[in-house]
Amino acid sequence: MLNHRFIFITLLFLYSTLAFCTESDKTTDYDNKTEAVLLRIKQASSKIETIEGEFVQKKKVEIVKDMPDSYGKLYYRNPDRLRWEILQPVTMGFIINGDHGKKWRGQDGKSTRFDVSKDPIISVISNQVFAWAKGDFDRLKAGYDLSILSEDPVEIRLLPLSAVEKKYIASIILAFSKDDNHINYIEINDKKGGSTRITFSNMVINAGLQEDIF
Amino acid sequence: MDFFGIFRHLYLFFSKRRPALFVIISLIIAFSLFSLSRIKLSEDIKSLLPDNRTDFLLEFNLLQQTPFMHKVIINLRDRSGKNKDSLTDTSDAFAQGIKSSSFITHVTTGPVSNQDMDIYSFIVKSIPNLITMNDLEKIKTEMNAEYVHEKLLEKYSGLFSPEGSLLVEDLRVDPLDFKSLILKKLASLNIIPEATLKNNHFIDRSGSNVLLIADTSVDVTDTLNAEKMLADLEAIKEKTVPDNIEMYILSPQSYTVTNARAIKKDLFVVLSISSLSLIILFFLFLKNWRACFILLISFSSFTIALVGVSMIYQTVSAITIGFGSVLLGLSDDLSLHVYFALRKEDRKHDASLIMSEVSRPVLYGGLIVICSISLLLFSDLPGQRQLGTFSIIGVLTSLAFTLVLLPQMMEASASKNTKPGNILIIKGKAGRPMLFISLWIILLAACLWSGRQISFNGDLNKLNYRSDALKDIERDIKNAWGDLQSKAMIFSEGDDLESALRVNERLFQYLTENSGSQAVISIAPVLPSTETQKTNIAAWNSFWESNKNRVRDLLDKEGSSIGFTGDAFDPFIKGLDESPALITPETIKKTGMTALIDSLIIPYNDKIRILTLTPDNDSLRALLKSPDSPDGVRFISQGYIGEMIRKTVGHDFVRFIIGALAVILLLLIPLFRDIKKVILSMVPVVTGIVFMFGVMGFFNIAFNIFNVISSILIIGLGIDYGIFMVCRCSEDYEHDTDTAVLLSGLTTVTGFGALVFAQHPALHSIGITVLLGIGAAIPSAIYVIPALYRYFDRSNTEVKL
Repeated sequence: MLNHRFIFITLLFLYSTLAFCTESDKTTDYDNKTEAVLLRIKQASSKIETIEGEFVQKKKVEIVKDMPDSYGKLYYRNPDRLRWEILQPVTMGFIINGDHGKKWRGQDGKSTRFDVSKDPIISVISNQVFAWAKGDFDRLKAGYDLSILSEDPVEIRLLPLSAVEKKYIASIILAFSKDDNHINYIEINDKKGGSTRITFSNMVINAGLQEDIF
Repeated sequence: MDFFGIFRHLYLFFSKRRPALFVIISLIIAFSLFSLSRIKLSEDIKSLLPDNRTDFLLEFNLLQQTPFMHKVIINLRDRSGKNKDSLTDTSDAFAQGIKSSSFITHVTTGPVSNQDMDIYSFIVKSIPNLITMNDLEKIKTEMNAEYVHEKLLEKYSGLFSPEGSLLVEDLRVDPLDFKSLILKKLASLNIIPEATLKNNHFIDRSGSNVLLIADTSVDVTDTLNAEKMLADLEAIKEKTVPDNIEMYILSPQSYTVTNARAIKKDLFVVLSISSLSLIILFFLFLKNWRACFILLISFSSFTIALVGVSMIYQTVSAITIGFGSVLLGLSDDLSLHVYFALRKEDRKHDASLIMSEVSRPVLYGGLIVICSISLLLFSDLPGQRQLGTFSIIGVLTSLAFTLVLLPQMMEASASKNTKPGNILIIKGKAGRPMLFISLWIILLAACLWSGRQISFNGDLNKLNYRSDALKDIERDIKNAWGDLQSKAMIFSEGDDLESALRVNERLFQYLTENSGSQAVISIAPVLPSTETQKTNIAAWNSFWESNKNRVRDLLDKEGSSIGFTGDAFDPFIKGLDESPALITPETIKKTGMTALIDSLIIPYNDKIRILTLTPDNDSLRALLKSPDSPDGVRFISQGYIGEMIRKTVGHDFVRFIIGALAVILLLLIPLFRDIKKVILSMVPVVTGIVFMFGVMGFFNIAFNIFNVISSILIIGLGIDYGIFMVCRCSEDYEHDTDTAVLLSGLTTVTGFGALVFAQHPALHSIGITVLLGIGAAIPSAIYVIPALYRYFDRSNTEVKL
């Protein structure tokens, strides 16, 4: 069943990845102010080697009466390692280590290895995390129209450019901490009115991480 | 009058008209040289396929017409595997570049993204069309409260995942995950097993290779344009691919070009070596400028034979021209005997009498070679028939020149002051007959033992030249992308699309029921016939007529217990009442699979053929050739073609051997009228063939169609040596027969031996085989025949020592 689901997700996101990864004809102008803000974030991010933190995920899903909040943890190591796990009310997560990764669902301790390139959705998510952790806005600009909602603290709105992604996502908002060096929350607003807000807390920067986390 | 007295009269007739004879022959040679430039060369491997079976030819034509014959696989590789973005950028740049090539009609770097319908919509909309009765039975069995709860809970948990929000719509339309059944069916279209996707490009698992697939307008047999196309791609590579990225190209046209290049190079090398060695041998043995006459006869025979073949056939196979080197070695055998007979200035008899004497073995030898070779005309392989024609014309020319022209040239050039030169004379040794006979028997026994398990090989790939570079590319592409090349193809044929789809369905069902878990690439599960789609839709509707309310209640109850809203699954329930549209090839093309559909559905004349790909192995070949196999399908694969050629080669070989022996006996019996001499004449043939088999068996070299051709030559030439040596032993010729046999054998060996230097496996095979056969036939003629003659006829003291 996991395989079928996997194939489906692969097919579904086959096209949604395009906008993120390919050059577009976007001609949006970025004024100097926007560039200055992005540069500020980039400079702050350049000092980041590791991140460790917790998050609360609040979802509004139109077909679920009261979607409970979920709680999880995030670990990042520059340049390409990421552990993302939800601990409550369900157990699931994934680890990315370069091109390879593993993911799990449930508490039975079973995980599945995968190639990041073959799992477009995780690829999209990890690319997002890596992009903002590194302040790699050039990469984000290729797939999204970026605009600055607030300069202090910085809030950036991403509007998808891909037609397929537009069918599902209305906007993504990245809100940074006051000191610019980590994300405060991500908000994903979907087309049908639902939304997901992931708020990070207890973020520890450059404290070092155990090797076996990844 | 003695029949062979004719040659005495012929000699006398032309000796009075020598200038006219020389002028006429010169004109013939000049005309043949002039005509050489008009010969059309062909490297088409089709000439090596049996043409007496129309079904087989049809199948081979099918193979030639598949879209895969016009696909060019381009692999870009970054060994470090570190920079995938750079790899895909290069892929895009190269793809953009080759659009300018007039030989490339289309290029694909990944799934097409600007389609009118996404694949997800197609899957969901196709559920009623593609779900079969068996699938419905499964659904019916599973559809209970526990199953529905489990499914919904799984979906609910998925909503917490990062992609959760994106799955809502899917959950509403297909809460029970029926699309997983369709996804299973879509897996049957996975033509590149090892491909993953990155930036919408095909990337291998290691991340070091990116794949492009281009379509070319160049036919696989069009060598000239294939060369130009590859040169075009190479030039674009220079402009667009950085040094740290390697590029490999593999296409049927790559093999065409590689073969053509190898053959051209071989022809130059082989003809040069054989001509040079012929000249060296003549001057080493004969040390007389008149040896040029023999060279003239050899080269003229080759030229005239080539022009003769080109007048009979539209094109001349490159293999036939390669065989010219063999003819050079073959045609001088006859003229050498006449030369040796006539070369002495202090002869006791006049030239006309010598001609009447020597013409008997020469004419018989020539006729036997021609009769043996003529068996090739009965081959099922057109290439072998052309070789037969070529050799017959060549030997006939050589025979005519030897018996008519050579004596006149020798006489015209004779001078009382001319010395015969220090000819290297070899004499057959029969002083220790038992020693030679014992060694010969031991050798034959050993060769028979090691040659008993020799195998026949019909694999076309082994007859094609594949350079090391091409082999490396094949290996690298196979490692990166799986086995894209060695697939068997099965064509389901119908007068129109609907009937072809029906045949294709039956085929797919037959394969899935009988082939175990072997990977079958077929469009049948995704594009059934209209009839089947209507049946599936009717069954789907019927199923939901009786189950809709029950399933709706189950979804409401179980969904509510988990936390879903009451209207969560309304889209699914509403969808059950909709009438789905029929799936057509155009429907699937809209999802971005145009190239795949065009590759699998092939219009041909007024018919439609649908292609299925399977592994090419014995079990599937047996399955498709079984009487239970569905009607209207044609199976074709390299393995199958190889099997057919193997059978033809085996059949031809037995037929040729029996035929050649029968012809030889028919000609030898009236020549010698003595069974002992007939048997002795066959010693070189038997020795050559057995030795060839023995050595090939020892080194585990398989027999192929070119070895068959070569065997006929061993028989033809070996018997010549036998006749000359038996004549020498029994009739005490004074014509240095031993030297003539040795020299003619050596020239043949060098002619054939030159082929050993050929890169092309076909020419190389001829070289190896005849080198062994003639290499053994010569010593057996010179040493074993006199020994056996003496052993069998102890009272005969006339055997020369």
